[in-house]
Amino acid sequence: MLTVDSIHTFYGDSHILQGLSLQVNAGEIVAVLGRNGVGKTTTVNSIIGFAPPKEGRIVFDGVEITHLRPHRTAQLGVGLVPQGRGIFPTLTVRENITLAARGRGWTLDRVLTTFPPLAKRLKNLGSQLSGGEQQMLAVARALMLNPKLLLMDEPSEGLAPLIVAEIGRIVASLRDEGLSVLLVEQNLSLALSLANRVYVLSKGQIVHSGTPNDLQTNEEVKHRYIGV
Amino acid sequence: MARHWKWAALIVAILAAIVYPYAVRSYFLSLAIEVLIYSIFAMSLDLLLGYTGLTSFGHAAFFGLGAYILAYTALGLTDNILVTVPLVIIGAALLALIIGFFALRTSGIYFLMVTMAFAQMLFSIAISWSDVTGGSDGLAGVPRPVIGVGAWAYTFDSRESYYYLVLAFFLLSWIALRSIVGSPFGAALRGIRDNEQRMRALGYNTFRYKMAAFVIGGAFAGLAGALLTHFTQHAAPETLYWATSGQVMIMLIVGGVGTLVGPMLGAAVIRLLPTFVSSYTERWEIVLGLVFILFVLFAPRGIVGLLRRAVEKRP
Repeated sequence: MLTVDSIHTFYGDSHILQGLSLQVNAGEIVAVLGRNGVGKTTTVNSIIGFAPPKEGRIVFDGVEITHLRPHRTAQLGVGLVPQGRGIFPTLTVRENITLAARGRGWTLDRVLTTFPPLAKRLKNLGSQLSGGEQQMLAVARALMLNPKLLLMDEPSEGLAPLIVAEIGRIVASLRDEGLSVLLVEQNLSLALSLANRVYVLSKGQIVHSGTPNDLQTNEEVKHRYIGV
Repeated sequence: MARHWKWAALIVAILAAIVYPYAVRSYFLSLAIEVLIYSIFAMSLDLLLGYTGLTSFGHAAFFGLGAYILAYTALGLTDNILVTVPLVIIGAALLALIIGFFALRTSGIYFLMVTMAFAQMLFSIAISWSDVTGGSDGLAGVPRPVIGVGAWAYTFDSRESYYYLVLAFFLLSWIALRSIVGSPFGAALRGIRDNEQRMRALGYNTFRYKMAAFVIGGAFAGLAGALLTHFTQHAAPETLYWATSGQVMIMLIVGGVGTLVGPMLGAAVIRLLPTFVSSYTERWEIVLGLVFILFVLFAPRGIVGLLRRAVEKRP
């Protein structure tokens, strides 16, 4: 589904991603874990095209997307749930959702069935939602694109544990329907409970990869790179 | 309840606008014509500034080009608005396409500077290419507009008739812009204003959307310039000058950015203020400046923001 092959991404002079490689297969949730500032968000930005890599290749669904502009990558079927939710504050909830409509499958009615709290809030502005509702809106909006791959950048950030669990349950059910997910997280327990495979990122490189169980039992990696 | 009040206010306003010429002296009729024309101009800028987040400081380029295209065609080709107005709109839209092609690659302060530079370039062309533009005198003697189909024709030669023509264009522009900002296309523009990068991540080619907004805004500004030229019967280079871009931006900020009613109120205040203040002092520009500063400091959402706050405070 997605192959990231030794990419190097820079912000100005700083060398953020230093030969990062990872892979997401169809129908699996892959988590990328790591501390603040190791390049997790940059990884997402490189894939979607906000921060294209200088070297290396990114291939999505058989198409090279390394230097595609973000809207082209999105049109190919890459949905983004950005860090900090990233809803449109001055648009209504309905507009936030319908703006993203593309392709077949997910419709307004279907996302409202998946996220019932949003149904009561359709006429509210994005800025009037609670943090949890905003996160649901961000996921709902990304689904309206009918993506094959969902990029989620720290969806648990700043949310109460109950809501994190609810979002986790929804993401798992999306995977069961065949969606591939790249989940960038700092929340170890969420990542371990959801992911089929886990990568650990440090200083712009993958320093560990394996199953959630491998990582769960690898105290050294957890301690050194995730801070548990 | 609030919705009923809105409709009632709208109907009263339209009725008042229709009977207005019978109620006032011709001087006040002229002021009303100018306010309506500048309202169209200010609404067209609001589509860019208020709804798309494009801070254009060169909106006079389209206003002035509309004025000159109208003067040129009305003097040399025909005074039939069924021909001249479409030409003006096409001309202004083409100019917006050209300016937008360059300016929309930048954003923020650079966008502001590039748009202003283009407008000033047109201003200096208008001043120096006097064989075509009449130089600093502009093009005078523009006839009153005619509407004609086949053998039938009507000339808007009285001030009252011209007022109704401008009122009709104003209402059409308002309805058109309202439909645009409320449509899915308008939601996309507002999304770009909120966060352009997120719109890209949703698969939107935001450059095209910004370009479309820029072209539509330019076309309506051109229409406003053409209506002013028929009214003053003169296309002046000042219509292209940066101060014209500044004035329409002040109208927008005083009235309330991101609402279509705001630009109308702002146009009224900024056009009427000099008239009333200048009967007390010659230095009316100082008063205008003070009003602007007070709004920026204490009412950044303009008159509309003040009204909203007053309504919300009521129990």
